[in-house]
Amino acid sequence: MMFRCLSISAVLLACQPESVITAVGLSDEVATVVVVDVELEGGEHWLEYGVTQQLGLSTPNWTETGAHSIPLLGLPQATDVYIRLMRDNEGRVEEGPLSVVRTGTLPAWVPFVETTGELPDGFVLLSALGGPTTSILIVNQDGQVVWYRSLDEDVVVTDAQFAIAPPERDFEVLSLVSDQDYTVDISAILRFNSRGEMVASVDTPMAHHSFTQGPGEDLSWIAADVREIDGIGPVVGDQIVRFNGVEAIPVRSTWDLYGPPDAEELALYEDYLEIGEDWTHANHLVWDEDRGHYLLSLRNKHDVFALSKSGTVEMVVGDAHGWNFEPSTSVMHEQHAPVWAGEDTMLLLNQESRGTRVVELELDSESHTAEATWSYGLDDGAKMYVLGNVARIPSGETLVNWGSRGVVQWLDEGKSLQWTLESELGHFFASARWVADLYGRE
Amino acid sequence: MDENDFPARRWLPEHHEWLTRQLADGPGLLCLDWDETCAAGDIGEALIRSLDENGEVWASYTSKLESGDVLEAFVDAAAVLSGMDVVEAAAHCRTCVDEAIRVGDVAVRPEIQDLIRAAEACSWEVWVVSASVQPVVAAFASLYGLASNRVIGMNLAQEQGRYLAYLEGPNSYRQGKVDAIEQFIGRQPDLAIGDAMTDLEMLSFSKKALVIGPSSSELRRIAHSMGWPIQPVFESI
Repeated sequence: MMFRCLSISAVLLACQPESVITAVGLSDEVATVVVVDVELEGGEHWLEYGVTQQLGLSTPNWTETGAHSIPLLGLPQATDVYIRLMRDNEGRVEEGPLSVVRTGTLPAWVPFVETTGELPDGFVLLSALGGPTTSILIVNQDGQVVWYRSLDEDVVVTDAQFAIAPPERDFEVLSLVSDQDYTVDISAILRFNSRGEMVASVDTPMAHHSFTQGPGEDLSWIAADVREIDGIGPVVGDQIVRFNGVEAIPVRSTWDLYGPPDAEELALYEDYLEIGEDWTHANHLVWDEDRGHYLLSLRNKHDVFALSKSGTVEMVVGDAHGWNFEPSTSVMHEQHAPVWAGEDTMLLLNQESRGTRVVELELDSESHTAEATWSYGLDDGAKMYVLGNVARIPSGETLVNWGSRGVVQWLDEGKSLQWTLESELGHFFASARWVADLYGRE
Repeated sequence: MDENDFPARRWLPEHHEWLTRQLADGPGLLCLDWDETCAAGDIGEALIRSLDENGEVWASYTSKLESGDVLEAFVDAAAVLSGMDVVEAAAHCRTCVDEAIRVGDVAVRPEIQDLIRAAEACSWEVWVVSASVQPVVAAFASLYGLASNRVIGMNLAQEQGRYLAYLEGPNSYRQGKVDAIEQFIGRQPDLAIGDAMTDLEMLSFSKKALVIGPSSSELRRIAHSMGWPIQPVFESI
């Protein structure tokens, strides 16, 4: 196959040496990922592709010569995909012939999702549970599943994230899997590449709910920390554990943050764990690289801790720690998924008498005042008890995952609802993460 | 709408052109039979085989078909889900679809996937009206981008979230397909597509119709007399 040199119209020139597409096929694991094998000679190369002959999508550039296998990402199922190899040869753009391949049909186990409204751009990574199959999905603006991976029947997936440091020009997904109630310790963080292959696994003993990428290239997670109390029996606290690539290091336990509970306190909490009395109930952990600290959310204590890499307490936000919430209806209660969304702005899901709300808190650490500058809930005011998360997109939009409700929403900068995704068959989403580009481009 | 939106693939050129014109003239209501129309093979029968451990249901089903008790056979086929929790049944149906595709009992028809996508792009409302049991057709139809609430099928009664062994609402067989369209959609289809005499009433009720196959010489004769395009079957499995 020869390139057509665009700089000389209506004349086909052989541009030597040639770069060619040698094979086009589908990933063995993901029917919506097209894999294009190319043999590249000199110049800067990329693939243009799309579901019409007008193409419209493109891969990052390749300058390396030789054989490469390039994934085409972000495509829906059962659709013809048109592909063209492009080369910038010293300022002259050349295009190869058009190839076409049809993406495969999704497996029937993939949860069916429907969307209303418009997501401006990007993709959403969802960890789906609660229905027939535990899985990880990536959907596009139209709610079309463009990537998927099922997980073993005996695990739940409580968090999935795009890898902060994937291989160049590709994406990878990290997911935390565990058993339902910590009785069978099969917790692990699994790493999948864009072709759906599991490329790494880190054992995370007793991990649950949430993990985070950081500090640096480390991984950290929440793990149950079960200790005996005389006269009560085993009690389930939590600890942050950091994995530095070699070993897992305990960072800080909630047993060090609070005095041991008594029976009166434990009676306040729901008794659902077989391994002991539920106590601090950590439900979210995130490492903030800019601030250099973890945010750890403890549901039953209604507290959010900021902890350094070594576990030193930098701040604790909560009614019991002298914070004044304005208005008082927004007092932090059984909160979930706190993240920083500005200099002193924290975004979280809060359980209020009027239902579960997304709350934006403006924190004044000197006066210990937390002012709710924005609050938003579903129209029916229902409470969402299981998982879920909220994220502020750098451009100002907000992604809200209503956990056990099986609803994900996108609100624009003005906090107006733009896009809603819903699932069926009892599926819901433990986590929802947005990314602008699956190839990791800015 | 151009070739990109609705590729010709294995459609006869005149039928591809005819369908393209119908869609472009929309929006409208498109009603599709499922087994042997949207997909090759019969997913309802695959479901029986997946749940019928000793072969009794299959034997009864085929016996009734042979003796002409078709509706009764379809009701028996639907009842294989009786006793199952609704979500458990949905999960099984999805597994059944994946397995039936894997072993070649059924096959996706890309022509129909494209047709549905093109119709929806032209603001058509697309429904499936099948005589197979609803959850397994819904599981299969999701592979064509259709939501479960756009699939009419044999609808088993439920009690406390579990399927019972009898139908609720209109049976979606022959005239029952028309009754179901009137009840659940509430208007006459602009276009209907089917493959068998069991679709005849729906095809006749529709403003326009196209036949795939068809599976019987009688339907072929009727299609000719009605001027319905007859698309040769895409493939047999």
